[in-house]
Amino acid sequence: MAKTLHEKIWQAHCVKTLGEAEDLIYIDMHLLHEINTPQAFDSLRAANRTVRRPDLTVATVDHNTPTSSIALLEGDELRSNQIDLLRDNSAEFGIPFHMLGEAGQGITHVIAPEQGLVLPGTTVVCCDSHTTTHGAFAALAFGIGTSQVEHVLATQTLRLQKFKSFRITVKNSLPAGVSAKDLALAIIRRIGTGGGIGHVIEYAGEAIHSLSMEARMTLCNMSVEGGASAGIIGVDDVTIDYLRKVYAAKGRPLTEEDVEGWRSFVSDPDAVFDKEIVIDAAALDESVTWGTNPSQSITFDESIPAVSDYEDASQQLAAERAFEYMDLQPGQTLRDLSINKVFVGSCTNGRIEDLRVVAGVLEGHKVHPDVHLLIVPGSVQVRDQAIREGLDEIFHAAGADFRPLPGCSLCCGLNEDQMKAGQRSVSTSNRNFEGRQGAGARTHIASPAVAAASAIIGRIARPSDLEAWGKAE
Amino acid sequence: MSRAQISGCGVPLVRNNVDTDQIIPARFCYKAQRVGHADSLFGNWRQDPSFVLNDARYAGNAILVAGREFATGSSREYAVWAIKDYGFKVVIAESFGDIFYKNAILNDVLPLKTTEQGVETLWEILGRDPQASIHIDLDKETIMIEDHVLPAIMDEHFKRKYILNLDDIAQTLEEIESIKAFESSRNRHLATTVHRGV
Ligand code: SF4
Repeated sequence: MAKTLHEKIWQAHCVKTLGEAEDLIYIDMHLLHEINTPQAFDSLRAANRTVRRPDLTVATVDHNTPTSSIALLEGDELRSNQIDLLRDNSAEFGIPFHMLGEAGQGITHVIAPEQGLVLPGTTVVCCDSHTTTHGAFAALAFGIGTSQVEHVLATQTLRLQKFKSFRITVKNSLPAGVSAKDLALAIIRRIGTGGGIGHVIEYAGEAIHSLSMEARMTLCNMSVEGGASAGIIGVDDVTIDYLRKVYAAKGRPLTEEDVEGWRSFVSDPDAVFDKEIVIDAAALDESVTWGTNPSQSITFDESIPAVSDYEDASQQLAAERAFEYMDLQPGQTLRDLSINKVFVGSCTNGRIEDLRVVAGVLEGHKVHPDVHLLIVPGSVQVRDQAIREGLDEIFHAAGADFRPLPGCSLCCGLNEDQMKAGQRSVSTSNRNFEGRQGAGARTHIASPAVAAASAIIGRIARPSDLEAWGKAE
Repeated sequence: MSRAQISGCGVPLVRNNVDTDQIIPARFCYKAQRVGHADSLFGNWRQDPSFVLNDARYAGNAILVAGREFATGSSREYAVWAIKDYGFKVVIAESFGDIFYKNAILNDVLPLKTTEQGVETLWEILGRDPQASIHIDLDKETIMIEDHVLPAIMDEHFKRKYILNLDDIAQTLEEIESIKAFESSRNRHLATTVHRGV
């Protein structure tokens, strides 16, 4: 019978069918970070259990770590404690651990693909909802809670119920300047924040296959903002070329059989999906969120909707709350909004390609005096590459705050980077929830290009606004 | 009485799309234990005196009733720990975030779905009568309040897991021979994090 890509991976990883609804699924790669794991190790020890496969497990610190200087950890007991616990737990069970600032450290979802830990047809889990990122490599990758982390540590498996399948076909190609982030926002706007619940979203169509791996990671990353359990994209030449480079850089052997095996990780042509929609890439434009959930976004040609524009009562309620929290009125446009902060980074847009886009927009400009532009590389490798390419010089010349250490930073506000109540940001991260970047902080989610243009103009803007703005100056 | 029957009073959280960042904001996620999170529950919203958890009439009520898409967002299990620590044994909502749903069952907090109409009925009654009692019967798949009988929606699989309160890891470790057999036939070229020294 014809199978979808995720069904193929599921079947190949089914250790045993446990009753009607549950399968025991083998996990090929398990990523750990400092916030959601200490309790799992404690329970493991209390039950006298051990880590079954440290060689399929990797740990790093990213969520709470400082990005300006390691010295900030001194005297910071709570954060240091979380970091120390992960380092000690990793040492105790033989799990490789990447310490802050050392080669290999960074946001889990940035480092795993860099290090070739994510391969087509494999299963990947992490105690973090944006594990969906790795679906870009035709891997079945999803976030789990701490109790499930303990389960994977002890057994290298998970007891899971089958996911449903949802194919989003994106036909035609994205217009120039419209990025994977804009596509992700458009999809979430269409399906809603709950549209993907219980489903693996498979992204298909010509627009998807013309995306780079970095762009695919951005798209799969935000699957969870549409409520999906995972996002996934079938293998094509772009996937294989990327992996060839990773293998070459690591000096790892790669056989043509491996490569041919990867090519089977696509959905069968006549596979049936539980849900399907088609999106026309050519009709999309740059988008930015205005509200407090990721489905509330508009383009530069639209204005903020009125409550009455929503038919559904719960969306009306959400919009009303969002107006109040975001201090906005219906009818305003994106360009009406002055900002104080721009954050470039996160597992959504903290990769080298994103930093290149930002440098491209910033070059020859200065960051607006009212704006603090924070650029945090997603990993040590991304930082080093940015420096090799001279992007750091462009950032410094523009007056941006380019951080030497990678991490989640202002995406979740767990380290020293937090916004104050009432401040307004444009961020390349993924969540515009109330309080996400600090209590009372107002977040607008956008692409790296929009973030960079906004940093220059001091209002929400896109790169094409720069020309007219430059003349007005 | 079996674990299939639960009775208690409710707290109406009249909001949709309550994400885990609201349930427990990240700045409260520094404790490295599973317990001690009760004060962090809805940490930001609780600053507002009119927030329902600050309403003394609902103190001690063990059933939280929220709207649709409850606890989507971050995978933080802290969200369940805070709900449990605070004293909630059940969360009723129209729908839940996937990860939270599993986290809840694994922590013995019952995540129970009902219809939109069901949520609205509960909100309306709890709004006017904080002591209205709710009777949940998982066998009959009902939620009863006053003279209303609302659907209690739970997949058989998760229902059984909750009622029997099974230890997942212990059960899986009983399958260890199957796991070993699977591992012995696994492709040896797959990525590892520790050099195997072949
Ligand atoms: S960058 Fe943000 S979304 Fe990504 S793992 Fe870190 S906190 Fe989570």
